[in-house]
Amino acid sequence: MTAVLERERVLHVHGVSRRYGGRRGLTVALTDIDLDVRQGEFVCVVGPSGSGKSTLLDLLAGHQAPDDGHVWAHGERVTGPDPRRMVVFQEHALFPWLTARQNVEFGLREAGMGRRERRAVAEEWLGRVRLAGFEDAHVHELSGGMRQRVSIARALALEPDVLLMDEPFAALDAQTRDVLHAELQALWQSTATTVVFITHNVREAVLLGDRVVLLSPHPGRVRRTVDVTLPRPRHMEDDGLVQFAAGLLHELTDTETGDGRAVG
Amino acid sequence: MVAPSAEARSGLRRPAIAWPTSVARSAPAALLGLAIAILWQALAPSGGAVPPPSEVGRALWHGFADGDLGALTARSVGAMALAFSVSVVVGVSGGLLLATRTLADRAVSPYLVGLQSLPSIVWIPVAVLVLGASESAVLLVTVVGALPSIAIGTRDAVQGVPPLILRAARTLGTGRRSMLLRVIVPAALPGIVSGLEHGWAFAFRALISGELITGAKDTGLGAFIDVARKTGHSDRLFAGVVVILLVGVVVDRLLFARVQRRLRLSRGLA
Repeated sequence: MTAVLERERVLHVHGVSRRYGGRRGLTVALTDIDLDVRQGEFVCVVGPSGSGKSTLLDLLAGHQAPDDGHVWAHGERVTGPDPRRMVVFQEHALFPWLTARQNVEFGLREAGMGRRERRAVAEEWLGRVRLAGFEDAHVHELSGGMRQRVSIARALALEPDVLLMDEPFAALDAQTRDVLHAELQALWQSTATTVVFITHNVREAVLLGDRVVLLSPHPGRVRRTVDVTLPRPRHMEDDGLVQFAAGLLHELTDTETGDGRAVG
Repeated sequence: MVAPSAEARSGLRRPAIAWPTSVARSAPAALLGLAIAILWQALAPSGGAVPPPSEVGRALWHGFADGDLGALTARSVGAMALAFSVSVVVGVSGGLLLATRTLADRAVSPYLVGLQSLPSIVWIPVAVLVLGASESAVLLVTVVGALPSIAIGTRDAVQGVPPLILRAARTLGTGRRSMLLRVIVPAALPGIVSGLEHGWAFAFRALISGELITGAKDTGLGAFIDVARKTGHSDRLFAGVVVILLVGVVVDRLLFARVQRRLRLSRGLA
């Protein structure tokens, strides 16, 4: 029984804490985090700054190790970064000395794919993120939105089990973000990838996620997990969505001030 | 033709002739050089301590046509090529080591920084003591001249690679060897080349000083100048200086400037 459950659970986080020692003493970034993500889910993790969202992503990606508890992925313990858990960072982390195509090909080459096949796969993915014609552009020649598209293509080209996205659209203008939201949803549905999406924007989380995990700050802990059953495709202006998000936001801010705890 | 009105003249001004950018860029320097040459020609007395350009020009011509200026230039350039190659190989690998091994960095870097600020000239007596007044001594001084800059430049460039790039590379499944060759070096390349540029400048100075001071025979341009001074041929001396200048400028413009421009262009840094 547990074996079946483990296979279905692509990500399993249990009792995780992470602390940093700094000049100002010990900071608890995360405490007592439990999270399960099932195959094919789109999970959004929302929280204000100080809620440890990025730390959680680092732990899932394998860039950091937890101080307490454990992080499991694909049925085994997470010991480091892995192409099965591809990350799309907030600041595009594309290689500036390579073209868009070469960036997408990079991981494929590391995985041992031959040149002709790599090229074909890279071109296909760049087409899927609507960048056909820009394959030979250098990174600095692309706009912010285009760079994030290349990042997504680079990640998905490796056909990862999980796509981890760390506030990928935070630095983009609203219009570009809207377009990318729609494209991301379409990509997710066509690839059936599991996605964990970190954001501070509650509405974005409700727009994209099957499930929203709300984190509260100082120290970061899971306040609540909410299922989002709104029908897809969803749009930012949908009444149902706006209300749902407003409700969540209200609850978040209300409880904080209610506890008399200082915010921020 | 009606003369342009004041308003027309103060408005959008277009040059009468459209110059290509390369001409426009180098023209001011060329014109200034010409002006200096003319002034120099007018002011310098013939046969005096500072010969006029005409005499320097003649000495240049004769030096290459039937003198040993050509051969000595080739020797200097050859010595630079050899010494610099050694410095690059040792310096870049050393820099990579320092960038990746904290212990080595802590132990070695302070000495490198000190070495870098030491004028290469100081090494000449040491080299002569060990290797005699020979070509090898000059080569040694040149290598030591370039090494610190290259090593430090490489180390700094590698340490300056954004951690996010390394993270992305690791997530993409980059193995350790690939990491160095396919990620770190390309990312650090502009900085490494800057280090090479500095190293070259130091090395060239060290070479010429070495050739001049060791008094080793026929080592290169430095020796040419030394002989010219000793035999009182100030026109030849200046001719030698001009050649040294030219070698430096040519290498800088034709080699380093081009490489840097290409690197920076593709990375969007320039």
